[in-house]
Amino acid sequence: MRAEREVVLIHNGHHWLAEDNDIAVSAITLAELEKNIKTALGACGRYKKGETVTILLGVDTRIMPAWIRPYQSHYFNRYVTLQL
Amino acid sequence: MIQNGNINRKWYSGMLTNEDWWSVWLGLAMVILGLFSLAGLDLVGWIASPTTWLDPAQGVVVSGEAYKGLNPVLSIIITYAVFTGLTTLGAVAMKWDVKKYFLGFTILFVLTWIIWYVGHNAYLAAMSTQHDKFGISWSLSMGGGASYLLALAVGLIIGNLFKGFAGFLQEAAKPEWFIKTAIVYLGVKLGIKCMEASNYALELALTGAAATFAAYLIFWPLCYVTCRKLFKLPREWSAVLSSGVSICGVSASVATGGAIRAKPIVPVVSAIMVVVFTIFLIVALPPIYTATLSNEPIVAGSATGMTVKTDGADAATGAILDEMMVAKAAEQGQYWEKGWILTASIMTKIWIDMFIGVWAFILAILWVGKVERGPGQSKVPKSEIWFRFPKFVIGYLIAWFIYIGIAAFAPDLTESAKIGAASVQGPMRHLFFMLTFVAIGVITDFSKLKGLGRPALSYAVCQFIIIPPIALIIAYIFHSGMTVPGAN
Repeated sequence: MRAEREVVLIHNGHHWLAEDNDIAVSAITLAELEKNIKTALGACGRYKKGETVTILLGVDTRIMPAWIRPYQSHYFNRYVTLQL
Repeated sequence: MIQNGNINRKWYSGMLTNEDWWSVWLGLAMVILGLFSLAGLDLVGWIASPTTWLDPAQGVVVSGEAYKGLNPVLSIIITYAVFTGLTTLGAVAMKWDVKKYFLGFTILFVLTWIIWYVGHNAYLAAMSTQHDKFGISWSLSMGGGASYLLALAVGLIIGNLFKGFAGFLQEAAKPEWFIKTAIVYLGVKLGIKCMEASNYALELALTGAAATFAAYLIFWPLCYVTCRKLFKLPREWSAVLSSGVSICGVSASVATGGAIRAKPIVPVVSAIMVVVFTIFLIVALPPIYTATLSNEPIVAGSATGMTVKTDGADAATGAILDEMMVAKAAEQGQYWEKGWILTASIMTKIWIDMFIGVWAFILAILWVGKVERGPGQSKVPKSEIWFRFPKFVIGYLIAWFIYIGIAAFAPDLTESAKIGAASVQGPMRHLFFMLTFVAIGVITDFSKLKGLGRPALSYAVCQFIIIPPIALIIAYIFHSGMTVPGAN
């Protein structure tokens, strides 16, 4: 599956934070975060209203402590398709 | 700062940067060197290992016939140089603190060797049938199990009483890396054993797969319901803890946490509980099974694989169990070949490990589609299954199949193949087992359980009350009547 954008995710202990070159949003839940991403992408000026965008939500592996990383090579990646 | 360079997105991501792959490289490097014996060259026989001793000067033997003239101390130094060099190379590739790793590994190696050697003292290790040989009237008859338990005890003392020192060693105390490397070496042993008992190994593999499948279907739902209904834990906690306690410990906790997109703290807490609670099983299960299942050694091995979480702890428990059961059988005049009970526990665990990716994928789809629907249409990439696949299994299978291939297609070479294999699957594997035991102890800090409350209680109920009896019943159904082949 191909994504038009790649957004990097981290968790700071309280919030999920998503960031790429154009947007930086945060939320307590991932569902809220996806809503915020949708709003931010709509406002960034690169897309038309109603356009569909597929993004890769990729987790920065460093959100897991170093001692736990060897057990799994990453946390998760998801493709999310949003209609703006 | 967020960096997209830390996303794992390619199928080959991590081949040079994570422990799982490095166990394959480290394992296969020695397997390939061992294969030079096919051409008459023993390139691995330089390794030394302890043997049961009363006279301290007789306590170390060099593995290969070609190296019998080598001074044992020099042999230990060569062993140190080879494995320090190779693992430090891995540390460089994995971007660890190399100086700290080098010093830590050096201390661990020296500590491990001293414990390994002391554990082979005749009063600890000798069987009663060996009393005359050593001129002693009593011994604890623990075989190689004495070294393992000593290693664990020393590691735990460091990890819990000398926390500053343990913190320093943690850069090098990597039980998962050590045990996965040892398991690749174990693949050589299984290959060699298949040369002698192929039907038995096949039966062990197939029944192990069936038992594992049955266990999954029972353990996970039972633990999930226990966490939700009895302990009122939220869904994300229940799912992650259920995977941690019923599948394969830390790996499964992280895989499930990722699959259901739980906050990172959830799998981290689950992983802490896995690591700490497992110690009780390493210590308790071998004597219990040895006392109660002496006629069903493979049942005991398989039940261990289903009960004990994390590969390192499972292999550690299986190794102690193997030593204790073989020693007990020897006391009763039955001479079982070492390694089969351990193989049963590891084979079960490997099936479990391989299934983690599929299970995480199923959970991810369930969560995305049913439990937590976001505003967008979410897709779980199938590559998740590959990312979750334990790569050391590839090394284990390659090592295993190489030796099966030799037996099948070049039977004349079997004896020369065994020369190289003997050093890899014997002393090298044992050395990495010993390193694992010390490392497990060093990283286990019991004080981390403080304040974990209901999650810890629910984990304990599942781990100690629900899993062991069911694992035993399933192991009995699939493995009862399988005995251990006799020693040559």
